[in-house]
Amino acid sequence: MIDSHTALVGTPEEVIEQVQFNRDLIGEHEPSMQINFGGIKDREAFRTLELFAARVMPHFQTPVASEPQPKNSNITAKRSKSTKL
Amino acid sequence: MRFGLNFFPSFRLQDMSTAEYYALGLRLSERADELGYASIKTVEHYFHDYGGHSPNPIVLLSAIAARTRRIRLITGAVIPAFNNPIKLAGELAMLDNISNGRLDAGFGRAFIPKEFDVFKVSMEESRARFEEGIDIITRLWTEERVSYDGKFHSFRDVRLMPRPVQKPHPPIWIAAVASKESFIWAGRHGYHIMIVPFASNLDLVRELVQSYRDAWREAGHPPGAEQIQSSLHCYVAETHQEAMEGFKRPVERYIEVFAEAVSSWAGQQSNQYAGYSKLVDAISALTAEKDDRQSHRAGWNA
Repeated sequence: MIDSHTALVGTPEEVIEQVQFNRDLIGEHEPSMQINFGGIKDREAFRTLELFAARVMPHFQTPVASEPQPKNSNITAKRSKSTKL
Repeated sequence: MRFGLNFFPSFRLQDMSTAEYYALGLRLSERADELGYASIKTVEHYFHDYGGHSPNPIVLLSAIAARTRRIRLITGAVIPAFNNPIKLAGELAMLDNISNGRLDAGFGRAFIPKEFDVFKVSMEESRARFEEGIDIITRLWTEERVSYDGKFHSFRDVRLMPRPVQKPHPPIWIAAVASKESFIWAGRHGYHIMIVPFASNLDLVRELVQSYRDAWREAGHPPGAEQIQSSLHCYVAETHQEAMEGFKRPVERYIEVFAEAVSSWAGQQSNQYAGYSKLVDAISALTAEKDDRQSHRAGWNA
């Protein structure tokens, strides 16, 4: 799920890359995030909530055009970039 | 860019109680409202640990409305096929009033065979019931008095109460998962979409979303005004290792209860649900992967 970009998992820096990957793929969108799935309790759910708000959200304040990048844009390059972080 | 939360219960009672789950959701909602999150979504499902702790999203969203000031509240989704749409129109309008205009009304067709069995609704009729339900609800919201002669519902001279706060009516969102027809239908009607990329592949997600945007534009709706919510699991920690380890147990629980809920798909074929047997196969493959991993003591890499 992480490799297929259907989950946002990692440090705030890793999650920024994952959000950006999805944004490049489908264009402007609102991630609707499950942070309390599978029996996750307060400590972990609030940790995700706070870290995401403090360190991921500020990177996405500037609006961009709603169109995704052209098909065949270089997804592999983005993926290798994200693994460096 | 906006970010929202999605409360989709997927726990078992040995993990936590239902009351604990709701209480946590309310506390998270209060804080999310302060932190600038854009929306909170809940679901309508039945009879399984996959979603079944939320048979009516309007109830939990009403409690959240009372504890928040600005965050949007989205039914993700309510199912017209399992509700009387006249009653549903009034209940959604109540939530729009309780929240003073913060309702995003999301509708779905449902896809779990057990739910259709119990409510004695044919899966073959789900699209027709869904489309008629939304038609009835938007007319009741926007017209002073409505008479309707549909395939499933007919009524005369009805004035809906209460009236929604948002004019002409609350934004309408469509749950679109694997049926291309749903994406195109939503775009053509100028509705926003809620997608679930989980268990799909990236090329397909890109293609479905593009067909939605194309249908939106071709129907003459203003380009760029379309909205897309994408449902994703999210687990953040200070270190990579902590995140990977923390994500593993709850996501395995999620996949386990999801597989259980869709197991009634075994042997089902429906031309109304093209693409769904692939989705179910993908979920089953994930649980098989998990079993395989556990037997080999390998790390999480789904």
